[in-house]
Amino acid sequence: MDIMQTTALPETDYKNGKLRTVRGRMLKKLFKYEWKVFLPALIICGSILAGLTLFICFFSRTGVELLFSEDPNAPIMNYPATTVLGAILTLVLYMVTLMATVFVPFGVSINRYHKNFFKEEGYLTFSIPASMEEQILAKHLSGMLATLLSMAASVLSVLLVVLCISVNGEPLPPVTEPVVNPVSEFFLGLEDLILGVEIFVAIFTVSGALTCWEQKFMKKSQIFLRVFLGYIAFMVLETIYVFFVEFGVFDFFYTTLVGAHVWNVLKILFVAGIITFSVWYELRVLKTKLNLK
Amino acid sequence: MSNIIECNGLTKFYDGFCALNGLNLQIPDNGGIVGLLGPNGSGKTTLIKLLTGLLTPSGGEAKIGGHEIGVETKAIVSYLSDAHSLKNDYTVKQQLEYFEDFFSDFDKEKALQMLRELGILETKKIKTLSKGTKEKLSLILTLSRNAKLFILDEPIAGVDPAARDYILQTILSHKRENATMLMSTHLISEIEQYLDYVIFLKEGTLVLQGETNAVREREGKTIDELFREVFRWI
Repeated sequence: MDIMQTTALPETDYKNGKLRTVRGRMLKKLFKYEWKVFLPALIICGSILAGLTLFICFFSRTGVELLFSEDPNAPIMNYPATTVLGAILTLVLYMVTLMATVFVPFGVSINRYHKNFFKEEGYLTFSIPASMEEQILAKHLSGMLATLLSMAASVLSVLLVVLCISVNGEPLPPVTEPVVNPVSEFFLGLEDLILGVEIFVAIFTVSGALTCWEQKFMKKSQIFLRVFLGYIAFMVLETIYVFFVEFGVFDFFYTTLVGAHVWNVLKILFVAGIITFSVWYELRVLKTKLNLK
Repeated sequence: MSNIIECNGLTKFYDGFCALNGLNLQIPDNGGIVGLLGPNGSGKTTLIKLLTGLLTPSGGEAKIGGHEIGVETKAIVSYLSDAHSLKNDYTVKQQLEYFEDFFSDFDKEKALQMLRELGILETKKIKTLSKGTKEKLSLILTLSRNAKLFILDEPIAGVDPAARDYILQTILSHKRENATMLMSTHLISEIEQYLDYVIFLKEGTLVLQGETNAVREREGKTIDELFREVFRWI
């Protein structure tokens, strides 16, 4: 008799058309354990960020406004050192918290991927009756969702601060210019969105690189690994590119509408390509090359 | 009688080193205790990791209950690794909940009972437990499942004689009647009396397999004596 028929375990209950339910339940459980780690991290960062945002808006407004002031009649030296120093410290703390809020989910995501899959915890991770697809899906989707939430919180906080403070007695200029051409506005706005999504690319690139590193089975003949390393190189180039943008080297993409469209399409292909390749690569390694030592 | 474990030409290479060399093995599903015996480096842990899906074979195939290694087999196998695999940042209670969530055959009451016997507090963080207590906790969690196959990798290696006795007694007293238990070790004399079936591995190949009593009668030696003869230092 088939042993699976004698066990009556839900995980083995495939033959009664319950496959989807069983797998769905497993995925939910995996998500639950991912969020048990992500949620406290997000709550801590979010609370500190919310606290600092409110502090800047209600208590440190004058000092912060002073730092941005260009009024020659109101030199910063004329104000008490405590006000100025307090404002500087508050702003530094705010910036650090802002960065932490965006990057903590990234760090947690990568740390969990490495620890749960490739360290001693991997013995337990891969002993549970969940497929590799479920394991990877739960990890990456949770990481992406946590990143999105943290980015949304950061953007909201910056908006609040910008709305609260004023420079030289005038409110800051509007965040967006009046819409002239809705189509071009959409594509140019997409540029900002894609920049935000790039943190996903970083998650997938680092997790893919970790998979490659931990397996250590690289050979000259392995074309896919070379392609993957190509992606890593591409990410390095991407970073260099960002610096070039700062110096206006790629002004063409930002000064012409066609350039912006071309650039957005390239960006979308880049992001989708890296995510697809990375997931495929990780699945391939974990399903066919797993070597937990 | 069907086989609980079947390996056909199972091979595993590590960076050119052959850890398992075309292993052909059948272990009957008779609910006994199977000793996987061999010196260090004979391929015991490699075989166990291949059976639990922690390694992928370089060649051949392994099956548990007639199924290829995967989600279905993981649901019926309870595995005790030779490494500390529990989640350090969890409390004992959280680790129990983890097992309860992911293994539907996990018997929480049984686990709690065993924890009480040992005096391990549920509220303790796993990272604060001593190495011996962590090993005992791993054993408790493994034995608290109503699994079809238990695979224990060196459960009595590296522990003092008192702890060894406790582990052996726990294994014997909590072993399910209709479940097979595969236990790897090189400390034969300690467990020989409990083994129903033995497998000898040497340099990644099968040297001998059979029911313990039949092997003893056939060879005219105890399993420990036979082990020393097969694996004597040349």
